[in-house]
Amino acid sequence: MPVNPTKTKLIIEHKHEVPLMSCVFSPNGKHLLAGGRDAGVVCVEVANGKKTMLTGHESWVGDMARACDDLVLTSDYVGGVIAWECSGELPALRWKISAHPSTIRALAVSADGKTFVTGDRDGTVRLWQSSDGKMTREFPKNEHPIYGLALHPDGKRIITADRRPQKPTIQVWDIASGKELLKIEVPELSGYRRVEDIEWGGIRSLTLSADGSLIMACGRAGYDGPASMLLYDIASGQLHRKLSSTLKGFCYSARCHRDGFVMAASGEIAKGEFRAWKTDQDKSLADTATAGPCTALDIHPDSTRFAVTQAIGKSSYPESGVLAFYEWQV
Amino acid sequence: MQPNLTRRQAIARTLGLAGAAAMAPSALAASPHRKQLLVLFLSGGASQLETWDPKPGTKFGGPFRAINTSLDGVRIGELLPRTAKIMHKLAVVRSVNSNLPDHEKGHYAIQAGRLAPGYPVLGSAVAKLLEQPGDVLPGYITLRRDGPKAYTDTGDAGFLGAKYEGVRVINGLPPENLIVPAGINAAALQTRDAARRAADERFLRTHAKAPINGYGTTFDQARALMQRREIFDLKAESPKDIERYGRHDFGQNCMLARRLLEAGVPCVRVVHFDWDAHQDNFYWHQMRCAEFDRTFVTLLDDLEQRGMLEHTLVVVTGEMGRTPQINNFGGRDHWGRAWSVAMAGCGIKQGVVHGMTNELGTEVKEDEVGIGDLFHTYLTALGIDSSANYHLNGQTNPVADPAARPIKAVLA
Repeated sequence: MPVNPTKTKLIIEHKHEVPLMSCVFSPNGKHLLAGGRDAGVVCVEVANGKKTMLTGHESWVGDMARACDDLVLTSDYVGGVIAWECSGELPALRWKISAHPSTIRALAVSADGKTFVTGDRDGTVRLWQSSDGKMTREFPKNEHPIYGLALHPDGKRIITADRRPQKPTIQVWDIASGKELLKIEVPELSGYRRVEDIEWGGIRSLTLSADGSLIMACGRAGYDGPASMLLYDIASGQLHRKLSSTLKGFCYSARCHRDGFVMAASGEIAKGEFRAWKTDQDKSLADTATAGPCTALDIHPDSTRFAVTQAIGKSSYPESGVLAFYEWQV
Repeated sequence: MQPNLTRRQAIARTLGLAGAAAMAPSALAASPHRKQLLVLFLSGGASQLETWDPKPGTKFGGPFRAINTSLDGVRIGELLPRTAKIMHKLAVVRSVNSNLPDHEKGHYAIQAGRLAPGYPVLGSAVAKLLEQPGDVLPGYITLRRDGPKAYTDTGDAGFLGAKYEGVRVINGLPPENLIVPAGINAAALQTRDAARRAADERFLRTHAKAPINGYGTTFDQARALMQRREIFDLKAESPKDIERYGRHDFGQNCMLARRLLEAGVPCVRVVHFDWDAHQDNFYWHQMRCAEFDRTFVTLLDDLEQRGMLEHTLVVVTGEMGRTPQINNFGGRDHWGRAWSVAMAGCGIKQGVVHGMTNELGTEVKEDEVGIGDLFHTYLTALGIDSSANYHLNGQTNPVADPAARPIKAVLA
């Protein structure tokens, strides 16, 4: 039965000692894993709310995704990736690799879960096997840090987003030949400031629509603009729609629901929100304010529940985190 | 190369010959052992936690690890791997409390060694205090790329006047409007210059002399610099050396700084921009540290190989540090209460880490150092009596803040 995206209900909030910035449900839906500003991975058992800390990373855990065989992959700021086997009562470390020599900003898994891709601060993009963490491919180095990645459902294309100043760029690559198929410059998500001569903005993550026809780039429209998501047609590279929140901050993460809407997590100083959109409408379907900036979001495999991570603290400096479970009403 | 020459001697001899061909006689009169100052200014404020004073695994420590250095028991941030290998040559002060979390005030105060306005900044002070008869080149040159941050140029000579204001070299290019336009021959140039001087003299009859003379000196210095245009020609360096320094503006400016020091300029400041990481601090420090680390170590190595480090004080500072607390946008903000400065070269004890911050890096725990103490230390390392006074225009002003003291622990 379809869910009602305009009706959400908070089920439970789990507090954490540090701000959180990534989360993902395990493929079987039994566990929710989250990472943030420490080297631990929080694991919450969905059925009973029991919280456990998983160790193995050497630095902050910045991104995560679910893969095949009940695996969850987590990446950290010093280039490490860990595969957690989630079929048991608690996730167990299956393999751990030093995937990059610098910070991994983005990690994405293919539709069948068998392949994953990582991108780092130095602009390096690598393709791996999920089952054993063996690298199968390295792409020509981008000159700019990689902040967003996606693997197309057709299994033939990889999409990257970089952090180049003034013109953050999305590129679509043919995996077999390594050739660039499409390049989309996204100056609207640049936060370049002449005063500091620094790019404050950029694309913060990439998501594909379920059918792979739309690329969704999350970020902020300008230096002090609203949290926004720009949707591009992957066939033509044309802007399909710009979805902007009223929140002045960054849209950090988006997930597509099986019922055809998109959920986005956004945050500014000391407040945040999650918001549901239809990709063919400018006005959002619903929005919910949160106590702290929403830094990431994931939808449970059963599509009736979702989780958001937050950074909690007074004014500009969050010192703790929240992992909140919500459900949609039907 | 003659077999009996050391590399240092060979380089010195080569430079001497090359320089003699183009150098004005008065500039050549500069002593080869004159003390010199090089300031590497990390503008915007580098994070002490990602550089000299890491606190990995603590609440505010950030995502990066600390690495061992060539100095037993001392660890610095992993973003400075090359610097870690030469820590035994450096002195690092981890206990600076300037208490000035502000760009403009910080820029002035950290360079003037005081809060009170109107005093000369370090480069201008050193230009004055190390001045020698017959000096032609500017005593103080700032190298930076074009940028909108006007506060990096604030302060300067104060009551010392325009003569010590220093010359700014933007984007590695010689000062503007000094290149003689095509079609102006030597005779015409001489006539123009005579007219300018006559106008100055006429003006001087009814106005105070000092400022006009100061501007005249600045004009002469800039012109002398133009006569040494070959200093700015980095193509004279091998492509390998250009690569070693890094092709970014900081790398190229550091290479130019070395050439200016070799030419006898007493004080050179190189500004490295973009440390003001209010957002994405860890990304920005990865980028900035990568540039700094490679260039800094190359530069220090070159200065040492050429025998220049014995008479050149190298100071690495910004106008402040960054907050231990990490903000909502992953940035660190302005922080002046506990941060770090590094030094090397002339007058500095090697392999010293002075002072300590508390476990979270929020406050100084031991051996607090103020901006005045740093100023005294720099001058003392350069062999200047920091307790001396300026006597100018009937006024007496202390060279450095009398309430502060040199940091003995870092002085050789």
